Amino acid sequence: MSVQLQALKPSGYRICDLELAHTNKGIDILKKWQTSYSGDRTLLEISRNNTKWDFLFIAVYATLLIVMSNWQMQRENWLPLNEALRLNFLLAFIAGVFDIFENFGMLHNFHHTNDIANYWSTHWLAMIKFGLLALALLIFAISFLKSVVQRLNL
Amino acid sequence: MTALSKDRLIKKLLANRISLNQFISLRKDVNEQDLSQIIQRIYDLNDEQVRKIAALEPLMAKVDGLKNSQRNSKFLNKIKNGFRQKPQNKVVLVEGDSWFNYPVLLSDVIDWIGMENNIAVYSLASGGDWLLNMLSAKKYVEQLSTMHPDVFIISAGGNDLVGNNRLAAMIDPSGKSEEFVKSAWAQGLMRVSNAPFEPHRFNNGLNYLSKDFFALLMFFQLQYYYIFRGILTSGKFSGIKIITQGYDYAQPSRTLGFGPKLWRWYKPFARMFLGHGTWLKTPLDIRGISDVTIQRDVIYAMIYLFNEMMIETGELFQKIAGYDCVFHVDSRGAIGDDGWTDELHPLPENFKKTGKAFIDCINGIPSPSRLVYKA
Repeated sequence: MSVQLQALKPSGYRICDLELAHTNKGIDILKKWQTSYSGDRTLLEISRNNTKWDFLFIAVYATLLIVMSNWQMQRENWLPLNEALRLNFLLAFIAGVFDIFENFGMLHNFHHTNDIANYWSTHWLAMIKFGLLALALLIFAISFLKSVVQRLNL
Repeated sequence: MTALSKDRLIKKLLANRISLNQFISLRKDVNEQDLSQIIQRIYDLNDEQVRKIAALEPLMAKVDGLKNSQRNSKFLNKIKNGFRQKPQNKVVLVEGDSWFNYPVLLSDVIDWIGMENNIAVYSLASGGDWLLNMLSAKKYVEQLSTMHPDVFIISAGGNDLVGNNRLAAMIDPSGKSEEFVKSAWAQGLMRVSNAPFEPHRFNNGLNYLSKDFFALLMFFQLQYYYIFRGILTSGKFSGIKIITQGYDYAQPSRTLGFGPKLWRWYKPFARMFLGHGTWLKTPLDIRGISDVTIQRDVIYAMIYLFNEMMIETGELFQKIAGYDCVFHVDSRGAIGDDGWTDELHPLPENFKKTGKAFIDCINGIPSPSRLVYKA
């Protein structure tokens, strides 16, 4: 998957640029990918393929975030952080749901590359998704670092 | 005691007509077969049926097993590097129900205890487990012999009472029950207790408790007595400390608990998917007890007596063993009306309160009530 994503680089745009793009920019990116090739496939075909695989990736990262938060929660004795790690279960789930809707939006857009009227901007879906994931990772990181510092101080 | 006289006493126990002296005699002589017989007769089931309904659901058993596996890996990591050489460090063996092993969502009592650096916890607890199961499976026996823990903690009885609408069998819907008055043993439990006591609620609740509840309460003491006698008189575990707990005044409810606090998202989730309403509210409704105040008072009386029974058990063993060995964590009144995740399980912060009382007891911090630690 990452090899395929590397193929997008020469176009000057990555997949997250499309995720975060408003309508006009999104259309520009898709036009560029439609006319750019990696081997015998257009970058648009590669992106469509990656987006389908992304559904599996969503399940993996959401599960991983929940498992990691649960693992850390069993070590976090400060109640506010303990509750925050529990909140991560919900944040990971909601981020995954937003990511799924974002993927459906992108798959739709791949079939409407020159059709500005039927383009569905995934900007806000992506912003919320990344925001929730960033918050969840921050909560985990704070708790994890706190426990490392406590262990070093013992 | 002959088999015939024992059978006569068991019949009297089941009818809640056993005298105090008779109960004391039975308590000293009861064995595992007798206990199995008693529970079959309380619930009108045969042995196979009891084992079937006491068995954990496969998914629950798997989830509990996973959490125990994680805890026990943590235990093994902790006990390396001379952990037991330091006197302030304690090895704790745990057996119990969902207050000690709540699947994933909540940080339960044992989670909080396990976070203490000087306490290494080995867990056998399973949410949904019966005291009867724990006694007959004897997993705790094997682990006691293997690790000779400093402390053995047990939380059980809740699932024997609730689940599968069994609570309905403990109710006298007429509201005119005199079974408490007819039980010398139960009346003997009423002591000058340090627990806050609301006599109006207690007396109101008593009016709805059937003979089967008092038989079950005596049965609980017989089981705990059997387990603790085995441990404390074996000569193998000198100085071991045993700690019990008796839950708090649970809240019969079917409300989903939605609210503005996003971090409490798990409250409606647990209520929607994990059995809320089926343990207390539904069986009470089945017997025609739908008034909310009466429902709460019934549970109040049950939990009050359960805790007093556990405290009495601790005092018994102080006399038998000759030292303070069986302690009780009393959570009555600690959780409050709004402190519950669902009908039976506190919010994590309230599990932590009970956990703190356990930690103090484990670490030997004296309690003003000697054998009782208040959460």
